[in-house]
Amino acid sequence: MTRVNADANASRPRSGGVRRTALAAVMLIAGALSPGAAGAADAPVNPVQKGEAIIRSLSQTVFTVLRDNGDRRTQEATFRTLFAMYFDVPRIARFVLGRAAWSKASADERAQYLELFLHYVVKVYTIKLRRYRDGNFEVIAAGPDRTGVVVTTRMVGLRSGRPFHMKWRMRPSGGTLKVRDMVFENVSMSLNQRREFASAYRRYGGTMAGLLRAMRMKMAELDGQ
Amino acid sequence: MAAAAISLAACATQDGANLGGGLYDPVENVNRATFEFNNGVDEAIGEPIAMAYREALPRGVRDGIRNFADNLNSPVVFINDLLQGEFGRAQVTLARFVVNSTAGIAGVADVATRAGLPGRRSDFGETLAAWGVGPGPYLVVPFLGPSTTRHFVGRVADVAVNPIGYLLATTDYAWVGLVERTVEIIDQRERLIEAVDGLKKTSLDFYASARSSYWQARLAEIHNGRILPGAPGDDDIDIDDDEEPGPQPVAAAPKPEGTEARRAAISQ
Repeated sequence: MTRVNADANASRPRSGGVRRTALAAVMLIAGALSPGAAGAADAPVNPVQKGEAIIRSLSQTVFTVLRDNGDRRTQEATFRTLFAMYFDVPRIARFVLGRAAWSKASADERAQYLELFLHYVVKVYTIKLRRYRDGNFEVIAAGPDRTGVVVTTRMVGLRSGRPFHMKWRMRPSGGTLKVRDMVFENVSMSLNQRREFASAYRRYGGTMAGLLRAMRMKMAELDGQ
Repeated sequence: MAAAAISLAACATQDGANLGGGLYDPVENVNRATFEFNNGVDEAIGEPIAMAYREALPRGVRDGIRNFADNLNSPVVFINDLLQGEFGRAQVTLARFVVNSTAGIAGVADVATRAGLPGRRSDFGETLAAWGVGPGPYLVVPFLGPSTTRHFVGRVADVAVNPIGYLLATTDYAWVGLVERTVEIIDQRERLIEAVDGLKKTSLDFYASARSSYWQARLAEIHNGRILPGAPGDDDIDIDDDEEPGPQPVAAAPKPEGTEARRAAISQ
């Protein structure tokens, strides 16, 4: 919880007072319903119930942020905090890179990659999620999934676009459950990114330096949109 | 047709990117060029038409159009259900066709789903997969988009065997088939507006992302949604594969009952 508050301060937007108040409210919700707290309030709960509660709170927080009408930079800052809190970012980052590229990278390149990956993914999902700001994730199923839990949600309330299903694959991490993969209508986002990064790695010279350059270029391109 | 598919699959050299599930992309440079071409066509024609279609017709009307197209395709689904030995599913497909063609006003209303007969798609590409034919090389087909050799052969076969196409061809309503197919393509594109646009804008490599998305979705269709994408048996890689040994399976939850049991069943 301490870390959440510290991150919240770090990501405080520079925009107006109303927006700061809204962000503070969001962070209050996020703090109260953080992965660690989800199991503490009504303990004991089984992992499936805990996973379901975490995804409900994550959904509530994300759509509160999206409806706050903040600009993209402000939302990105908030999502960076949420992503680090609810997602097992280091594990996702390593999976996406693949074992071979990870083992060939230097310690400095690994550190750069891990930091860049968080910023890159947050930028990507902020852009994607802003299209669905009038929607909401409704939990329709939850169950065990190998060493973790899978929670199935349905996007509801969209004024345009089709409702879709999203499965959240969660794994134990740091005494709680964290999201390791999102499966959008039968397409695993982690697996997609792994294929995408493998291709970019190859096309940018087959080195970590090339991949990091490609990620920075893409982030600059997204910032310009 | 199956022999042709097997022959084409055998021609696939096992180089190029390994995409899991036995799929390779040995002609990636050609595919990338075709992908660029298709992308240009889509930006110039496909997406604007899909947007106009969404703007012009309310969701209920678009649903009716899709239901109509799905109903016309029912004989193909029925034939493939039989060829795959899925006789229970074939019965459901036949019942849906009868119910929707009559009570559903030529298939515009999907009353069968409301009556407990949910629909599903099936095609000859899936039939070939069920017969053990490999996917063959990954292909990007001009105007049609991502495919595999097996899927492409299946698409051609499905058009060739649809009895409704032959029936319409013997009447003055042959144009209905063409219009139906065109509207179906527009409808499919409309459903993908957000997903395609998001992928295009944010991917490090749009071609690789589109290829992966296609193949994962296609594998899910072939497995009839019985396997969670990214899980063993679905692909060569699972999200747990890069883990060091450590986390133990989550302790068994209390046996779910009622709503929770139903929910757990849905997620499997």
